[in-house]
Amino acid sequence: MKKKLCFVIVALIVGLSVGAQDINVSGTVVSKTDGMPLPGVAVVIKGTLTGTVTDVNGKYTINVPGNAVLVFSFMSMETQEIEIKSRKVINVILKDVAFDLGEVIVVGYTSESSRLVSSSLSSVNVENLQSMPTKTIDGILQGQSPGLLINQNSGTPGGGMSVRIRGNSSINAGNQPLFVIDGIPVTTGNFGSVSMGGQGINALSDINPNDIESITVLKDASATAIYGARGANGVILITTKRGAKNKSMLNFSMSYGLQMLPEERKLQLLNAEQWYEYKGLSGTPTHNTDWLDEIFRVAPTSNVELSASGGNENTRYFVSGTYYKQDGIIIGTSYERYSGRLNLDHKLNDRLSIGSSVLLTYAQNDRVEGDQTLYGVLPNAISIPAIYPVYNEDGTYNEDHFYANPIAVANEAANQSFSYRTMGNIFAEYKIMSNVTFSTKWSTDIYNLREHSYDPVTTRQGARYNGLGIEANTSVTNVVANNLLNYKKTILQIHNFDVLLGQSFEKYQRRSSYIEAIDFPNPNLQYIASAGQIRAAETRATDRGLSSYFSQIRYNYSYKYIVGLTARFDGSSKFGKNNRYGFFPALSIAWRISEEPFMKKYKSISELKLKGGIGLAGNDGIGDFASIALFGGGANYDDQSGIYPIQLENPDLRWETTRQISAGFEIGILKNAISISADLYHNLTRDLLFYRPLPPSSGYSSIAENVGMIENKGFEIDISTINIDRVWQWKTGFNFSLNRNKVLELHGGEEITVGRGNNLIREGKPLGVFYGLNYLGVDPSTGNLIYQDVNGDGLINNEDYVITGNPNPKFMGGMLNTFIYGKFTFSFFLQYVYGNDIYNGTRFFTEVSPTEDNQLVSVLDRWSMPGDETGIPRIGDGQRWTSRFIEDGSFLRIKHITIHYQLGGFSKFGINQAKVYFSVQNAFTFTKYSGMDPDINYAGESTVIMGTDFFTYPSARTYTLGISFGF
Amino acid sequence: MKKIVLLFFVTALLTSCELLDVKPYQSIDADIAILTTADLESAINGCYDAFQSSGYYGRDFIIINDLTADNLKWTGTTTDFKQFQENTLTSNNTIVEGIWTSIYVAINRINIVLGKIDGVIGLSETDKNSYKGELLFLRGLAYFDLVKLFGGVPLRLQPAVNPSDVHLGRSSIEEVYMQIISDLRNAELWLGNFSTPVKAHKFAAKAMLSRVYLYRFSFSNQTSDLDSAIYYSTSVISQFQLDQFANLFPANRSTESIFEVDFNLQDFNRLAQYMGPISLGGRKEVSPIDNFEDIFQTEDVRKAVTIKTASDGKYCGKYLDISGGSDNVYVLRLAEMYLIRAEASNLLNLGASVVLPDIEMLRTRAGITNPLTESTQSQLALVIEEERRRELAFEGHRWPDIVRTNRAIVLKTSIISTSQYLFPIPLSEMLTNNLIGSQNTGY
Repeated sequence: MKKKLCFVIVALIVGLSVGAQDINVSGTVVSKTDGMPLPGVAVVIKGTLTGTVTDVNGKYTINVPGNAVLVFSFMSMETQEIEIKSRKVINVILKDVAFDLGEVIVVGYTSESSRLVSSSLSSVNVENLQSMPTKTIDGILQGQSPGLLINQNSGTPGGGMSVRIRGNSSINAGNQPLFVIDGIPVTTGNFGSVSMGGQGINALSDINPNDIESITVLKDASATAIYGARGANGVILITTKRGAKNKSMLNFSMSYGLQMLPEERKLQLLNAEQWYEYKGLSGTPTHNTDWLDEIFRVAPTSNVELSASGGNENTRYFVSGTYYKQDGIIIGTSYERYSGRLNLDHKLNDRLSIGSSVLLTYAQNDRVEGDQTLYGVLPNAISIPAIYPVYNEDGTYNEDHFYANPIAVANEAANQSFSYRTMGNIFAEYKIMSNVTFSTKWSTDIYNLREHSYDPVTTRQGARYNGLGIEANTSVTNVVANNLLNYKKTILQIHNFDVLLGQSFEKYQRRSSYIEAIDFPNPNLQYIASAGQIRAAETRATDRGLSSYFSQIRYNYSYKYIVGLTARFDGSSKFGKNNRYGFFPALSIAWRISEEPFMKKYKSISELKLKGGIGLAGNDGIGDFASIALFGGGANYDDQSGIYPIQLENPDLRWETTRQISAGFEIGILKNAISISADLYHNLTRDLLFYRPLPPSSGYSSIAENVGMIENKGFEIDISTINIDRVWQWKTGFNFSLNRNKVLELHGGEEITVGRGNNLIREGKPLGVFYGLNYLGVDPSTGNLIYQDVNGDGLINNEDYVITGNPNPKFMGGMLNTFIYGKFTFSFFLQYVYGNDIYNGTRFFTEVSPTEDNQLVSVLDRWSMPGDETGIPRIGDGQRWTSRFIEDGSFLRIKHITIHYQLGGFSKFGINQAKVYFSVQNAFTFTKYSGMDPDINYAGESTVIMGTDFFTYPSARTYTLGISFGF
Repeated sequence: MKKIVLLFFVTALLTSCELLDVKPYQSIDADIAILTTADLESAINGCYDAFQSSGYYGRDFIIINDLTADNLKWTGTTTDFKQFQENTLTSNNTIVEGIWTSIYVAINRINIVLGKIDGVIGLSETDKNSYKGELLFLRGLAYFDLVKLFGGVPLRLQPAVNPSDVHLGRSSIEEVYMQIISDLRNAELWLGNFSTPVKAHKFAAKAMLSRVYLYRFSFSNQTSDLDSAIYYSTSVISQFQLDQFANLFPANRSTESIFEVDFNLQDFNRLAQYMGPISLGGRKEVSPIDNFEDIFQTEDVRKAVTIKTASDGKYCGKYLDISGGSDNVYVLRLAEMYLIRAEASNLLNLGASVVLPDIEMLRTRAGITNPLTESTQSQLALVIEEERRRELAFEGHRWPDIVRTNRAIVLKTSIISTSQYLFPIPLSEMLTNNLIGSQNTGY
């Protein structure tokens, strides 16, 4: 089949170049810009279909009548008509077209001029990102692009984030977009084996954002269908920097920052005296410990980077090395990364070029136990009353309280993860003919994660086991190969074709081992060789394969009418045997109205484009082998191995499919001083992958099935303006997006609730609304909470549950303002999220709880005697899922403020460019939310647990000072 | 060059076909999982493994039977335990759901393996029956554990093979008991003699039968059930010897043990951790009720074994491996057989001379010298109840003991209605099982 196609392409080309005429004219066509020969220029005799194209050296030969006129045309060049006048040699210089097609952006397996894009995507301005202290990709993307919602799962250094493009479209199959770096899908997610209670490791953290040249966010199916079964959640395309010819550069930059918990966001808890009053204890407390002050600190962060790029005619390179270190604002947490990159391009001859990109990273992440354990540093610091001292008089840790001493856990226990990442690709590009290119790219992404955890006897957990040690190793290898055949052709100067045929496969292997041992002879002997007893030991293996064929055809008529067609076949080992292959097509069209003659009179409108598209994209984020009835091992008994049935079979299991329709426009006014792009979209996800709960009496908890539908619709707008452009310049970039999510259909209408905030999934409602009792107030006579008796049966129970809040924001976005005056640049970036609710699960335990947990100062206003009018109930009433813990999570955050200053006078040292900057990250947050940070979720790795705070690590405010030099 | 390009595509095509044909490494296709005797034995181990679950003998099933009654109180952070102590269970209690789910997981594994035995290559009829007996013993035990907590339950005897046959209605208490007895009688017939108390054997089946008949009498009122209880307990008593009480704990294959669930460092339980004091690294979720030690006479050796004292309070002394969780857990031990025979004899009103010797066996073993003097049937019933409490405290007996004698309503103020005797069918079952029918009264 491939052979046939090659033949067709060849035949097409040959067919166009036939002709026998009177005189033989030859010559070379070169570009005016760089004087280089132009291959692939169409040379056509005017008024006929007869012609030829220039070869790789820009040369052509043609037989023509002596009085003919030759038309030289080439994409994005001005067409020239030349009378032959019997000349034998005609050399032509072609100029770039006068109209600007905008910057070239990466749109999938190819790139395209931004003006000719017909699908819905946005490219992120990476220039501003360098001065941000956050050095992870997802971290810098926050608020930067409309339709892109990024939440921190917690403020843990190196921790994961949840990224959503145009809302949640899935319940069980995952909602994270696909990340593609230099054309290769990368391994993302948390591969940690040591459970840290919600503080996940993030494989994406290994990539240094300063190596990034551009980021494109593909948002609708007409853009993402080329990624087939993995495109439904959108795709984030990242291109790293490469060298430029004849332009050697050396850059050095370093920055140093200090991070702290914003004082105004610190929880106000009872002091020792207030605790005595609260518990009705007599006497005076002997200690008054501020546990939060004990665990929070001012933590440094620093980044040092050296990069060099350059090249000559044939070889180009980009090399960089970075050291990045971030200490967490909670003691015992830090993230440290060393990374190096080498990107190389070489032209062997006019037809063949090769290259490679290599990233090497070593990172160490020190974490502390998180919010979901009894040994969490932050939850325990919040929960232990102030009356307990940190240390006993003999200097040992005080362990009198029910919860483990958090200082002991943070200082004594080791919880380290080390990641070793090698991501590399090699590629070759071969020009089979002037307009037919074959390229092949092979890559490996090798991710090794080693975890070391040790709890010595000085910690509560370690004391129980006489030392508890864990060693875990996970190795994930993903081999990807892309083979592409590209054909570009311009016919009669007006029909521009760009055809891509491709094939790709991926082979994924994951291996892991885990050993847990107890009973260590000495706290210095932390490795399992010294352990007395092995408590658990296991190794695991998973393989996965993906095989794909895809094609993309782009056509435009005089850069005016644009059509894009894509299709992809994906075969995945994850799917059931009846549905091994999926087909994902898409169509998009665009009309550049500004190119129409009738628009010429509207001089102020420099660009106007309407566009629309429809397509299907898939989500394959389902478990491996979920479709087969299986027996698993490890069900051992009495030291003998045992096997057990794991799941019911479902041979029909398939990917989820999202049908995406979008329409939008782009407009540029006053030479693009104002440019606006807006999109409307409607996404319908069918065949929702769902672990349908089965009756427990069947012996199975659930079965993986494709049932249900979810809808997301929304609107996005991106406006950038140059407000003032004189001696000083003022630019604004603003984005706004809103998304409305609705669950349309569930299996048999069955509802599901998940998580500590009781997120509900119900037909007709947005995904994950909060569900609980509706709290009406506190009864002044009893101090009891009053709830709404919804069914009026006189009882308050789970039949009275109502929807109490919605974690999905009503709208969100960001705004960047930049002011430039001479050598000064000042910018500030605002991020806003509006209309989302948060379930403050921390208050569940810290507001009028009868237990030994420390309480918020709000309990000082609690009901204490009949007649008290207050919103805080009596002690002991309230630990239920109620609207009392639902808070408005809207926030406006001054995400960062930066001042740059361009230094001069260093040229004698060979320094062309020198810059100093100062920035404040997370400068201030305006919010009504009473917890430490409105931008967190304790279970961020979950698909549907949303907007729930449960003793979660807040984000820091960071002051950074940096310098950079260019040589 | 075009050839090379072509070659690329062809190789890629071939690679990709292979690529999609991946097999799991941690699991095997159910169709080929049980083909040989070794496979079958592994699968039977998988059935025993289900009894180790933390919803079952690994923790909750043992704890709640003393917590719902009057032996334990809640002293921890898991609020779902509180409902047991206060007898205010709701159908969404996660511990109730965990117990229900764990027991049915065991039943499903048993049913699946039972269905595979006849397909195993080269097994003699005797061997097949012996394996079946082992599985039927476990199924009888599992349904018995369900019926005493929940009443009539769905009686699943065939595994579900597709999502449409997962729905099943509740059978009556009588029907469930009939099935338990039928399973145990077959087990008794087919199982071999005792070799280890951590695996099923003929006498474990007999011991279960004596318990099941005694329990069934409480609603059948058939004296033949009591005769059966006496018959089976007697046949077990002759086969085992009482051990010294202090040797019984932590449980590990005592001469007195008829059937116990094995635990070790890798397959550990969380009983000691949940019952243990914080000062020794435990979670102290539950503790003995205040002054529980007062139920023992001073010289009773069981007192010091059953109740221990740490700096932060009293705790249960029957499970001590807080860090390792390797204590075995008794399902059936000889002392209970004496108590069953005594109780059945008393219910038949055979008189103190028949009833008391069995009780005295245990009292003497506990180092108590003053003989019992009670004589009437009702006095003796109370003696038996109290002796059971002393002997079997924290072993998961107290709640069914005071429920089947209808004494719970007298002993616990938080029980105001006998509808509190049965636990609610878990909400998740009520919501997903189309045929489940009605919830237990009061929920």
